[in-house]
Amino acid sequence: MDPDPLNQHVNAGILQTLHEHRLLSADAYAAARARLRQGIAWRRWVGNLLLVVGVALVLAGIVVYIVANWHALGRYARFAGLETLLFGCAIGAWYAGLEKPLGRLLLLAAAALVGAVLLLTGITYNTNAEAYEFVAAWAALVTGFALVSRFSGMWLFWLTLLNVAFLAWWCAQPDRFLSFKLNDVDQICGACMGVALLNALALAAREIAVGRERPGMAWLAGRESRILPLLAVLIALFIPAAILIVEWPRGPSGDLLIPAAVLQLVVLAAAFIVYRRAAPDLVTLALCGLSVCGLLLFGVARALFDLVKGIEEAYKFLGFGVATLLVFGVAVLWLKHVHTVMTRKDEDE
Amino acid sequence: MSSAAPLTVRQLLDWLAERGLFDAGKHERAAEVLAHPRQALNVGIKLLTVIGAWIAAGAFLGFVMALVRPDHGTTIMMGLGYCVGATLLRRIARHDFFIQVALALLLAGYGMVLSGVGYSPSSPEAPWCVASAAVALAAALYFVYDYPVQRFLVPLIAAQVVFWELLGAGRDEPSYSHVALYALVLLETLAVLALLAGPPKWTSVRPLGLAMAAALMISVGHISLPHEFRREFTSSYSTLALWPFNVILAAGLLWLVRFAARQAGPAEAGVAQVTNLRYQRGPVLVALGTIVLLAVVANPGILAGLLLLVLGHAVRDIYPFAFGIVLLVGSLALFWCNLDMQLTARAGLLVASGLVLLGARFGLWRLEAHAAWARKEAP
Repeated sequence: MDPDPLNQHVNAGILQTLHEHRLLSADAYAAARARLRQGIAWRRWVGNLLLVVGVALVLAGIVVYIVANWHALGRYARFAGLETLLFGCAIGAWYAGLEKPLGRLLLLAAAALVGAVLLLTGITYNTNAEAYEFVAAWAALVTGFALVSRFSGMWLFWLTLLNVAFLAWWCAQPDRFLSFKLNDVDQICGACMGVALLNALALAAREIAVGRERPGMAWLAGRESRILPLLAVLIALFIPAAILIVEWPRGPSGDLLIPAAVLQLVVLAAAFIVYRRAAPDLVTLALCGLSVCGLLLFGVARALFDLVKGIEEAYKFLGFGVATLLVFGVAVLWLKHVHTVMTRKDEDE
Repeated sequence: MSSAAPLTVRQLLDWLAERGLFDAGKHERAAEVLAHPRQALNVGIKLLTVIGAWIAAGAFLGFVMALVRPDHGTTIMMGLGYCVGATLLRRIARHDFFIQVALALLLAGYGMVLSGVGYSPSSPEAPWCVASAAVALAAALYFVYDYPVQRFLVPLIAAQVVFWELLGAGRDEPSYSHVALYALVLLETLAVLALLAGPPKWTSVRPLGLAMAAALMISVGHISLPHEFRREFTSSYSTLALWPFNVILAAGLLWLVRFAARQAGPAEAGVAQVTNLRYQRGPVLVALGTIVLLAVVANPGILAGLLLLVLGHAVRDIYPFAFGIVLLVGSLALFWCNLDMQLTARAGLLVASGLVLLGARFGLWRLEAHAAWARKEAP
């Protein structure tokens, strides 16, 4: 990615931003909008659109044909159909080139078809495999795809498979983990902690790989490879914390609630330190702030609507509205303060 | 049609500076405004502000509803008071906290006015009153605000209120509300095209245009749902004819093709005028034929999705483009699922459609090769 913001392609949103910051007068903004509409690359755009939609329709048609005639197909025909598609996608990806969107899309389709072949194997030969074994085998088989593709979408797909495999494994043994007996709340907390740790590990690996600024890892530097695992961590850890707030002051009904809350504090503290100092990113910090705001508001709502007695319902709503504005207002102030500190630090350097 | 490389911000600013419309010394300031941390800060602040304001607006609405539930006159007056207060606050506020408070008050006030107006659900005029109040309030508020988030949200809410009230009115007066729905989609289509692809001098209408694009996506997306899904919301709409929507949206697409052909200019450099016209005529005729075919066979969602997609590319705006992709993919899937054919025949249709599109791409490539040859031959 070019670090110079003036070298990015211009669009209507950028023009409006420049106009809002009074860098473009009304006349300049109008002239820029008119200039933007000239020289549109229609031929290239229509050609790309036709190619992507055409390939997607043909592939979808083949898949639907196989599904429609599934019962009429013999064992060999089924495998041959799926594997032809799989190899077709893989060869297409190689031919189109993995640096191009079409090549990446085809590789992603090939990775998805690996799962279909595994499923077919399980059904045909009645392997009695558990769901987690199937998804874990799928993830293991597409690890090579994730390594060679140099495409963050493929990496995220692989990470999603790992998450599903973990959840399937966790659900396959209800009531116990190793030799520990678990109640319902502990089951939920354990699943949330596992998902959070898995994604936090992936996020840490991503930050280390990108942080060393190796040219070979530039493909992982896109924001989506940071935001999506982080969202998974934040959402997973929000659930036990919310249960803890709902149960307060009765005391936790599960042994894992307190460890999950501690894990949330540790993860949030680590995220605030990393994304403020090591890899500054205000959008990520805003998401972490949003998670904290959500928890605080959950606590306020619980206190106002459940615990405090003797206040009219209407005033509880009013109090909650004011508290919401205060909590989010403080979060915005904090974010602006972080931006000021980061800018000053950049200027000093 | 031309095929130039996309313009960068620097090239555009240089072009403006050459015409005396931009101070060349402000390049650094522009780079600072568009720099990654600054943009990230704007995204973060907008995210927190808008989410906080919506939650607080819901709480304020709950406060008024719990306080004055039976009295709809008081609700309307309080709602208007909230709107006026929010407007005054937004005018004087320069701090993010007060901007957030103003947005929360505005959303709550808007909700209160509409709840008050539509308080009598038994009255047959109630839906029309609510729709009119939503539009009148949105029109008034659009002009007093110059903040893009408010300018986007207020017309979008108004358009949605009108749409859902019209659907509700259909239970009592189906024929009137059917005509009103056609008129609404016509207005939304006209508004999207006029506001986003209209004269470049209309610089303050982009948020309204984006709101109308989002409203068109939601309205047409809902209309395109099959009857068994729509029945959940609107039992009287099994008789709603879809062809008028197709005519409106196809007309919009035809206008866009003309707009795109004009964008390409009279002639490309070094190409004889006759060759260039012949070169443009082919793709334009294919586009016209495709639009007419889609208007006959497709559902309105496909046409509206295509319209937003092409419009987004024509004016280089990512939002209509994204709305178009969502609507097009969803509508194509619905259209395909509702075909009255065997699954094998439907698979064949998919493959045949894909091959037609790939064939069209090959034709385009041949045309381009021919044009390149014509350029070489031109004196």
